Amino acid sequence: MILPNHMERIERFVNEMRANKGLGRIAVTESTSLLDDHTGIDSLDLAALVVELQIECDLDPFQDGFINFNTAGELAALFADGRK
Amino acid sequence: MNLELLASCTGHLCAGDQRTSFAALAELGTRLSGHFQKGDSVLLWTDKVDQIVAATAASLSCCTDIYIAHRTIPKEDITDLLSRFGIRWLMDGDQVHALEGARKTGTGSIFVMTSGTTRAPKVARHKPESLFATHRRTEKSQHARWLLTYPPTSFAGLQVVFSAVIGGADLVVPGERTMQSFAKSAEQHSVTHISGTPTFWRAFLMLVTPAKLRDLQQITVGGEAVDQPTLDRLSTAFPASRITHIYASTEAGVGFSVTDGRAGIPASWLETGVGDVRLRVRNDVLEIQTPRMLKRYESGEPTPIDREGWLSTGDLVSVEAGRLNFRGRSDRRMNVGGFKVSPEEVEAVLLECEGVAEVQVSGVPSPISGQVLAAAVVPKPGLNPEDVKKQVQRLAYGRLEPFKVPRIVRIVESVAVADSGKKVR
Repeated sequence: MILPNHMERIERFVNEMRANKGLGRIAVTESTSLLDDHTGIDSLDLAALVVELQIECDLDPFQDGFINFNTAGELAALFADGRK
Repeated sequence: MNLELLASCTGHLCAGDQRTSFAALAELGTRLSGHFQKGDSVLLWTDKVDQIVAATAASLSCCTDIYIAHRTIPKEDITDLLSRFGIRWLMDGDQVHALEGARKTGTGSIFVMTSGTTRAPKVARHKPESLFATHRRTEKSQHARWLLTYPPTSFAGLQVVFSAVIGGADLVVPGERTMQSFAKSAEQHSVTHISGTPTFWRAFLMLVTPAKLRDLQQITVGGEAVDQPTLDRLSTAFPASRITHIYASTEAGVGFSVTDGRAGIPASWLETGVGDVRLRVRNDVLEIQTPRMLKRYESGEPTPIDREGWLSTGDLVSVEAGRLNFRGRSDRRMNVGGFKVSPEEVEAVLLECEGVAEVQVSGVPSPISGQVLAAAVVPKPGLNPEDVKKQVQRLAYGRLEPFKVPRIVRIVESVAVADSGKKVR
């Protein structure tokens, strides 16, 4: 289950990163591809986003190795799964 | 340095609320010298400046080796040092104990320990000439009042202590080793000379009123890579003071000092050398060749010297605009998406930010990029933290290559500082 507050966190974070680069707000939905040019974030922003989610949710879905994800919904789902 | 010289010292030790003349310490020194004989060795386990001064003068007068160990070195390590080096006397604070099984190998050297918080201390031997040769008494030095910011048992601390003693100056040692206490003591005694790390100075600048330090003549900065923003802040706060920054390596047996207000050292030194010191850069690391290099610690650890006799300092450097700039320690570099970044080089840029009092950059493990940079930012007092965070982010994106930009920025009240005055990394 994808919790709405995970999606909110991702949207907030993406927009903070965009603001740092002088870009305006965008809406982030479950189908938004995170590394798409459209979002304006790079792989290091994504790395920071994952760290922020790990800290805020106190979860580490990657502890047994990297799991591929592409969209905001897929990332949110990793944290919703609750692999603590 | 010996008892005769100590007895003729004109300065005072102002430790906490106590004021003692250094000359009066010759009495304690003479009492100690009654125990010491030529060829003996003594281990002094203390953090008290009066004991360090008296015992050092006594041991050098008797051609006895002295090992100076801080109280924070655990008892087990002390016991181990005593037996490994065949030490004759243990001076535990002001108590002198004779030990069995001592060896007669003393020649009047001074042994200084590295701060061994996580491992056994490394022990380096120094000849008294190399510790004290540059200190002398002049008309001017007798009017100086030094503030001791370093632990008194460290190499940097001993240099300050004996500069003051030999120069006939006063030495101010705050009762507590806290920034508040350093700032208060500096103002109360209106000190003239302060030597500290860049981290020390940034914290000090937040707490002192420069107008209360009108007598401050000499500012010395060293012990960590010295950055331009900190030098600039110091010259703005204390326009009348002379500012010296030091690059020193105990292993190389060198210390360079620069007073032109620019971070780094002249790059021309790579071509010309400095006296008998030769410098070169290999893999971005500064290497040094001198006749005085430490080949091995007394405790056994070898120093990193290659077959051609070049010692690797482990300090990352880069050459820009005729300057050899220090970028941090090579063993602290982080891997961000396949790029190497040192925290110090990022901090030096973020400190340009008007609202930042202190900053610490570290790497957070990331499944995506190896590490991702995080900056812990201490805002200057009275500023809105969110505004400072935005300032930092704007500056970082404007000035740094993308992989050097801390993508995580947190506002904190303080960063952790070791007793040596260096940031804990």
